[in-house]
Amino acid sequence: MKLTWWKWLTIALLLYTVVMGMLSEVPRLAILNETIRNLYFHVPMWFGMILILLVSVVYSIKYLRNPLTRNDIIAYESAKVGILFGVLGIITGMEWARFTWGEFWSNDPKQNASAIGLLIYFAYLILRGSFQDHQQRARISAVYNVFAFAALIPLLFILPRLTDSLHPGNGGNPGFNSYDLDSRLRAVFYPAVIGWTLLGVWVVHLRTRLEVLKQRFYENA
Amino acid sequence: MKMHKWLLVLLLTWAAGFSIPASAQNATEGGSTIEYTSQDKAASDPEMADVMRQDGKIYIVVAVLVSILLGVLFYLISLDRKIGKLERELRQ
Repeated sequence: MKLTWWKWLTIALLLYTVVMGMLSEVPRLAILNETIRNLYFHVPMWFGMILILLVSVVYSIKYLRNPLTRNDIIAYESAKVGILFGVLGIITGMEWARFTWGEFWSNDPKQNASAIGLLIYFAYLILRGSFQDHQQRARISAVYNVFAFAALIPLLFILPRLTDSLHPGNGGNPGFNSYDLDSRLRAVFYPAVIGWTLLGVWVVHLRTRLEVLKQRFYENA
Repeated sequence: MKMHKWLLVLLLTWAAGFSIPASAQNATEGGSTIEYTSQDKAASDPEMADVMRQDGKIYIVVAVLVSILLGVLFYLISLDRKIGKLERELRQ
C-alpha cells in the first residue's frame, strides 16, 4: 500500500492509543476507577476539534486574502470534521459524566459552554446553506467562521475557569497538574491527541480532494 | 507543505518528550509502581479491573477494539485510493 508517511503515522499512533490505552497502568483514583482511560478517547476529541477548527479558520482567512475556491473548500470541510469531533466529544462526555458525576448533563459550565460553542458552529453550516451565490457564500461564511472561532476559545478555555466546574483544571485551578495527569497518563495521552487529530486531518484531506474533483467535473461537463 | 511537516515534527518531539521520560521513570521506579496482581494493595485502593487483567480477558477487549479500528482505517485507505484513481483519470 502506498500511503503518505503521515497516514502511516496516524495508523501507528491510533493502534498505540487503543492497545496501550487499555493495557497501560493508570493512577488508582476513587470514583473514576478504570474510566480514567476515557482520557485517551474523550479529551482528544476536543483537542482534535480545536486543532481542526483552527485549520478551518486559517483557510477562511486565507480565502479572504486570496479568494480561491480551494481555500473555501478546505475551510468548509475542516469545519464539518471539527464539528463532528465536537459532537463526539459531547456525547462521550455525557456518557462519562453519567457514571462519574451522576448525570448525563449536570449543567457544568464547561458542558454548557461547549454546547453553546457547537450551536455557534451549527449556525455556520446553516449560514452556508442559505446563499445561492458561491462567492457570497464563501466570503460571508469565512467572516462568520473567524468570529465563531473567536467566540469558541473564551467559551471553552476562559469562562469555565472563572466559576466552579466539575471538569478538572477549571474553577480557578491551573491547567493539567490538578488532573493527576501523571507521566503514565501522558505517555498515552499525547500520542492519542496527535493520532486522533491526524485522523481528522485525513478525513478533511479526502473530503477536500473529493470536493475539488466534483467542482472540476462540473466545470468540464 | 514544508511548514506542515515541521509543525508535525515539532508536535511529535513534544509528545515524545513527555512519553519517553515517562517510560524511563516507570522503569527506574520498578518496585514502587502499583502492581495489579498484589491482592492486599488492591483491597485498600480504589477498585480497578484487576481480575480482568489477571485472567487476561482484557486482551479480548483489546483485540475487539483493534479489529474495529483496523476495519475503519482500511475503509478509509480504500476511499483514499479510489479518490486518487479518480484524480488520475481526470488529469488525463
